[in-house]
Amino acid sequence: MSQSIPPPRRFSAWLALAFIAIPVFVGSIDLTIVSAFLPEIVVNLELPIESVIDDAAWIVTGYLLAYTISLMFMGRLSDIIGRRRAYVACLVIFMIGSFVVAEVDPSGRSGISNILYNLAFRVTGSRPDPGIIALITIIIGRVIQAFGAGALVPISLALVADLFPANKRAQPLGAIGAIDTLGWVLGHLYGGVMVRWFSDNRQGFVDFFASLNITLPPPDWRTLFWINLPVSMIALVLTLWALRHVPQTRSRTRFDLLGALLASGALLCLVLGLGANIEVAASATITSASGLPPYALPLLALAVGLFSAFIVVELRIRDPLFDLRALRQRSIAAGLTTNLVIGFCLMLGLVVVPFLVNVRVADPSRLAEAAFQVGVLLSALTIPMALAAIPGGWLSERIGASRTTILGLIVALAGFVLIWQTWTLEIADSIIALEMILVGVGLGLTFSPISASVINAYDQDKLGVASALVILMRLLGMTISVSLLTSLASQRLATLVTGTLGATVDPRAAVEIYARLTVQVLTEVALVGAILCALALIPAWWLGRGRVAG
Amino acid sequence: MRRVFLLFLMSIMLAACSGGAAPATPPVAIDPLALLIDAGDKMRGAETFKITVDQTGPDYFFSTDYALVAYRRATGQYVAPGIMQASVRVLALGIPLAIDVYANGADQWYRALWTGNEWLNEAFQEGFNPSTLIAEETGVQAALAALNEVQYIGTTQLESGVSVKQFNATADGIDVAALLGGLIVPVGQVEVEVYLADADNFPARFVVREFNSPNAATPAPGAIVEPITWLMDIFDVNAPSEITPPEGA
Repeated sequence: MSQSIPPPRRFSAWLALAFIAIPVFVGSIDLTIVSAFLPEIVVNLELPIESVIDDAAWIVTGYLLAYTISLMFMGRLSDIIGRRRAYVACLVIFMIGSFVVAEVDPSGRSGISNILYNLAFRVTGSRPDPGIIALITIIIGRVIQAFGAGALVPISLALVADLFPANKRAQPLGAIGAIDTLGWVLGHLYGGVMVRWFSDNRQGFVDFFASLNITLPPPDWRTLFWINLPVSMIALVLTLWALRHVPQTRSRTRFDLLGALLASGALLCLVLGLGANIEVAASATITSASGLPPYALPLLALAVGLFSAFIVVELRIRDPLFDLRALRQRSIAAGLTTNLVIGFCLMLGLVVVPFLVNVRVADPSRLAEAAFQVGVLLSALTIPMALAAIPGGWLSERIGASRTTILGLIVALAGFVLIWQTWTLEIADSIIALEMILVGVGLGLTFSPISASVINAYDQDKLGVASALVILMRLLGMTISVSLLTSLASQRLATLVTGTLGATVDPRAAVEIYARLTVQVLTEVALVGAILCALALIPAWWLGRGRVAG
Repeated sequence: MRRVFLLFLMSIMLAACSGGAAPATPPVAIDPLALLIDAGDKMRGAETFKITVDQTGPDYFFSTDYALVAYRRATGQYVAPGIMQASVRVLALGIPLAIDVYANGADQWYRALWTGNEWLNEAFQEGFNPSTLIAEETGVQAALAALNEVQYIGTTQLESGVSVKQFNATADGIDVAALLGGLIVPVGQVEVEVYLADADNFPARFVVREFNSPNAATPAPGAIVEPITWLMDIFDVNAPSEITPPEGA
């Protein structure tokens, strides 16, 4: 039972919420920031792109996975250990993760990369590939970052209960959700713009700091993670100050550790099994592997087993992590299922653009330019998507959640079909942008009706849980999407390349053939998106048929 | 429990921080030449061994029919009497690429992105022949015998934890190509470090420093000119062969 506390004055409550929201925003920016410059990281680590891009995708997948797992249970854990304490701890974890990524050394000669390099050398007895070690360091850093960042969302939602009276919590809960969305909507644009800016002004930065008697290396993608540190530190100080009068409350309910472990294990096995390509060896392999590794199917079977065990535990325990009985309500079950598919489709859109832009550029000296282009083109997907949530809510109130969601899915489906039919290596950016807008608007139209259906079907004292669950299902869809697709697309591309290229091909001609085959795979990925949008019409049909307040 | 965890953490940190070949301990009187000849003999007698060849310092370029390519690293396995399979990492026009190479005597095969990862029975490097690595006149033994001004520095430890004896020497680059797996031919007078495993006197590492290489990237004006440094580690001696020959080889 929580202690009853007098809520702070409204002004100071909103001020505290603003400070709390800064790290939430920074953490959610980092969800998508890397997608703009992932190829630049791979080239910077001097790893062969064609064989490590699926492993490098773990820089994104690892973050999504850890963010999702953390979001899943940290809100509940914070009720037990104290929200302010949990918030501070998670923010510090986020800062540690940011530091690990920021200080990575591609040559493996300094810092944490060097520690791992020497450790791998000692364990394997052979000189490891410094690029692979740096990649592992980045993935570790990103996972640590995400454990902190993911937890900040549910803890912030929970802190709303400490700051606002029960009847005034809808707005601040919505604000936290909106800030979280805004972060990942703008993440790739921020990443792309900043990397291009750093690249264009490398010497200017060095000279500026030299004039202050500070010797710094030229800025690059790592600088973005250094920036997280002072911002988070300032937010930490401000939050501690703002929450100084809020008593540290602790719930006496039991934390469902078993449920948390089973759910996390199931998700981890699922993602590893679907991706099945995290064979980050300590040294380069003599022969390149092909086909799914033998552990893929056992991992997927284990995921099914752990998930089944999770369901059994959740149905039997007194204070479950998730009240699965709520899924008996049609609106909740249908809403969460549709949102899972929407998360999956959203990630398709976020993945295809960076690939297309980078195969078209195919010039390492123009990677910063490509990062900028990726950021701008992805904004054509995400900004209309975020804006479409407003007419989505309006429509939902007039024609109902189900019809609005179906309309959105049909618009997104049309966008994916157009991508499937029109994308070539020479396609104009304006056409890509228009198609992305179509997908974005379609997906965005579904956000409000789905959230409203799920939240309205929940008890009013569980608004935070319902809000977190909606975010969680979308993230889950995104996580599964990125791990499954990078694996399948890599396999498909390898098959096409092997079938098309061969004896005595001119390497320059091969680069173009490779690029064209990549675009072909991307169009096939879009077709998958269209099919999934069509399948999502079924659960969308089961959403509340009546008008739903957004 | 906390103490155990701290001890574990400290041991990891200590293990990790002991990176780089540790400073050599003061030498005892030994006959360097005899040890090196013995090491060459042992290498000739090995059934298999693995190598990694890393390059540091300025970029090392070699030209191909299509582009100027910068060498990065190679890892491979040698199987007596003359088979070698290696994965060579290069930067072609700034793009990192991996090229798999297989050689059985003078017969060479390679595969890369542009071959659709299919093996081609073509020379990756003209004249490369793994059997010359252990040949009496051209191999490691001959290279070790060609070293000048050999000095025994002392015992030290490699990053992998292997205890070694260190020798420093100079040589003519062309004479010590075998110390780099025959994949690279250094030019001009070079500095050489040889590390022999304490336990069995088998070569564990060769370091070759090449000055004024015509293949080195031109340094920026005012920059300190660094030598091209080649570092070849030898490990997994007499381990089972992991080589999978191309179909038809």
